[in-house]
Amino acid sequence: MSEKKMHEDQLYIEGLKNNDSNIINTIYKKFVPKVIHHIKMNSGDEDSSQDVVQEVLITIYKQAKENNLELTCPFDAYFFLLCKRRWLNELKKSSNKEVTLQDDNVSKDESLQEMLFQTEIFTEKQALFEEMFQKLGEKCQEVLKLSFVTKTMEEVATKLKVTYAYVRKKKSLCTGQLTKLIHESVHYQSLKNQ
Amino acid sequence: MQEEVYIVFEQYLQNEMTVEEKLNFENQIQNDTDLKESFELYKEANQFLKIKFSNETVDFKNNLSLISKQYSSKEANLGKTKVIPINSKWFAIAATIVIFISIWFFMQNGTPEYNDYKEHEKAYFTERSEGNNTLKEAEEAFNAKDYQKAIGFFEKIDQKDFGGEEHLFYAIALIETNQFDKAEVILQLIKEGNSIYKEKAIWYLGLSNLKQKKYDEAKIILETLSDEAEDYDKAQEIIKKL
Repeated sequence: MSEKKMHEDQLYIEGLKNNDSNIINTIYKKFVPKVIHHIKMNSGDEDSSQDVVQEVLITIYKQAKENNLELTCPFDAYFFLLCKRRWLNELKKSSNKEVTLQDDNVSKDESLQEMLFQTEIFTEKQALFEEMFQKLGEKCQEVLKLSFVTKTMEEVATKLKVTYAYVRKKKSLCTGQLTKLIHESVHYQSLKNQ
Repeated sequence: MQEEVYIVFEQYLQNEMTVEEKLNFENQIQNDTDLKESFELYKEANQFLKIKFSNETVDFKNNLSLISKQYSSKEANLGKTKVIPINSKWFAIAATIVIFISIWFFMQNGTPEYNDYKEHEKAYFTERSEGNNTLKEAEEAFNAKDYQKAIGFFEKIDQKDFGGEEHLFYAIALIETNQFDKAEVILQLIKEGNSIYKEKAIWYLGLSNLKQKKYDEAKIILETLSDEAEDYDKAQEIIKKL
């Protein structure tokens, strides 16, 4: 990936990553109307289309934060197709019928396909991590949440009324338990092989 | 996998190892693919949690939903104007009347005053951490126009709950109680940042100067307000009068 040329639209990725309101506004002005229109034409309404847009933007934000997302294709197509596919998945989930996925073979752009693929893998991983996090015990969830919300581990220990050493150990063990759950899941094995 | 391994992973990630321990660990990972895989996964899980719970992510989501609301209401309004056709002749007549009334109105009026513009929006803060009543109390005092009391609560709020929105309302309360210097420092910071309250901060910087009867300063500041800002029309009105 790294030898490919970065696209000038990378500015949108950076803007999302930095929570830059001007860039987010530009995205809403330039790219969102097309998505909303598409979803409304395909049995969606205003609310559901706004939800899809937000979820996709949050995914891009997270991917940029975590992996230094580098755009090698136009943002317009990348964003539109992510939203479109996400909406198709929603439709599939809500109706038991198989929705015919008219795939985007209109685009033979390799960079675009690669970008979409990477983001979709990332989305699936996020969903898997989230699912496994929910499977952790209440105490583990609490310790982990506090360790990342609170500034120092000393503060976490005070809040939970336990010792610093205990909370440190608990944090590693809970993260460990999370990785174990993820590692053992069937879905992880299939994601890993992609 | 033994528990000790996770503790070692954590120490490595938190940078709590001596140089020697660090090298040792890195060597071990190079030679043991299973260990390497579980360390990579541990790192990934750690990153996932960090982003999931970080305040930055909370801010981003709040900002996104605010911006998204602006656009969905704009869209709805656009829809409405299209549905109701207005005969262009009548529209022109109505517009002319409105223009005449406003010219007459502003000829009647002398210098604009702060009091004409002090209809503040109501505060509705999003709670970011549980059990935070101070934020709620600040919100209630502000909406009840008890600004002195609101300031007391604002000053007690935990730093991590103090986002752009809270800063803006804090600054408004300061202007209301004539603590202009303090208010302007905060507004200046919001103005220079990236938050969606940027334009609001400019508007209130203008009002702060207006209240102090520093008309030239007020004018200069209000002129920098973008024409897409919510308060643009009001700002233009003040500029014309000054």
